[in-house]
Amino acid sequence: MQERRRYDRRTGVALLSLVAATNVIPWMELLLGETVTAELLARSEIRVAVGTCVLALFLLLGAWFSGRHSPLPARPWIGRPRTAGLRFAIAAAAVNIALAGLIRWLGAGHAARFPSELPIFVIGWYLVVLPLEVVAGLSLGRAGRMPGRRQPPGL
Amino acid sequence: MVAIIVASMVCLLAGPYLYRLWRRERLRGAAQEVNTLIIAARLKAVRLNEQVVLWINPPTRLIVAWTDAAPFNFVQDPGEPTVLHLRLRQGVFFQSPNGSEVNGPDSVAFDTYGGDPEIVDRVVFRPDGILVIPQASNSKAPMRPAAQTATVPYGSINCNPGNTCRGIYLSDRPRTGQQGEPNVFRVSVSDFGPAGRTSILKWLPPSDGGNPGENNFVPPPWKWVD
Repeated sequence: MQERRRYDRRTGVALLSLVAATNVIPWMELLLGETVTAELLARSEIRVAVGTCVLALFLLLGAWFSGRHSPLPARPWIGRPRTAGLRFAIAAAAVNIALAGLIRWLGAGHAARFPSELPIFVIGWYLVVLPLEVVAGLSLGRAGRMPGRRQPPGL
Repeated sequence: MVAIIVASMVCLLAGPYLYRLWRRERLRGAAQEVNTLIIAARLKAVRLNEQVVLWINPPTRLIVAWTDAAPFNFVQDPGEPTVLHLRLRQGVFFQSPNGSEVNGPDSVAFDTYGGDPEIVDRVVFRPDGILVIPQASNSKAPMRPAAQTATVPYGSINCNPGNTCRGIYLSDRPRTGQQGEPNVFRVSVSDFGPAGRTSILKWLPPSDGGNPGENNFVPPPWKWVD
């Protein structure tokens, strides 16, 4: 059982790392895309991008710790946290990478400009990616507390 | 422990991005500063109704402007007050794309005034704001590109033949030939006419889509070599 917990914890850390790391990509691509113009980046733009990555990291870790340590409800709304965590984490990472690709593609065609596109991107990211990440973190945290399919040898 | 591992992964990925961003902003910021100083010097000349000399001293990175009184010798004499002053940030080099050395003679190509080849690296505005044309062979006005393309759009210039364009050339790394091509900005004024219009253009190496046989500097959107 102890081995199983360690395995879940390692998987959780790997998936959390994947999600948190991919958060950086679209935001940094957005900032780098702005350097093709003559106007310098405003401090507020850098603050929004870096601050969002930090905020997402804290929320993700907070959700994971919350899932690990808060008492389980009698009827949890996440039925299979291990599967749900994996799916949500991969979905969040995929959306992040897709967004980064979109920004790069738009930037190459010069259709996107950070100041004008920023609100759309921010709203989209906060409404779609961040909730996915929080749910993924919570599920992965809970997954470590529930018995999985893999049983210890000898049972 | 988990938090440290995850945060480390984030830093590992964000680090190279932030470093690239910082390098680009440093060079763009320096080009903007020089551009702003040229505009300010021109405005000073018009407002004070005096000749203003903007001197760029590459070795010290100091840029100073003063009002030049009679006999208008382009040198700051006693009694000619400094009107603008800036020290350029570190990490940016004065070097033209084809220059052999940092702070070389072509790095600030606004040379020779009044027939004196010793008077170099100065942008001079008359009291009416018109640029005093430098006389050195390396300080000629640029030409327009032979053809406008997607990579060489309207507003680009051609510094050939002989790479003799006037301009202040700022690079993000010394050109040693061992690394890739550097990112080089050219800041200049009155390229095509006496209107006093300043420009910030970025060097487009021929391998990145410059016109064959030309040495192009292009307006945004810019391609970066990281």
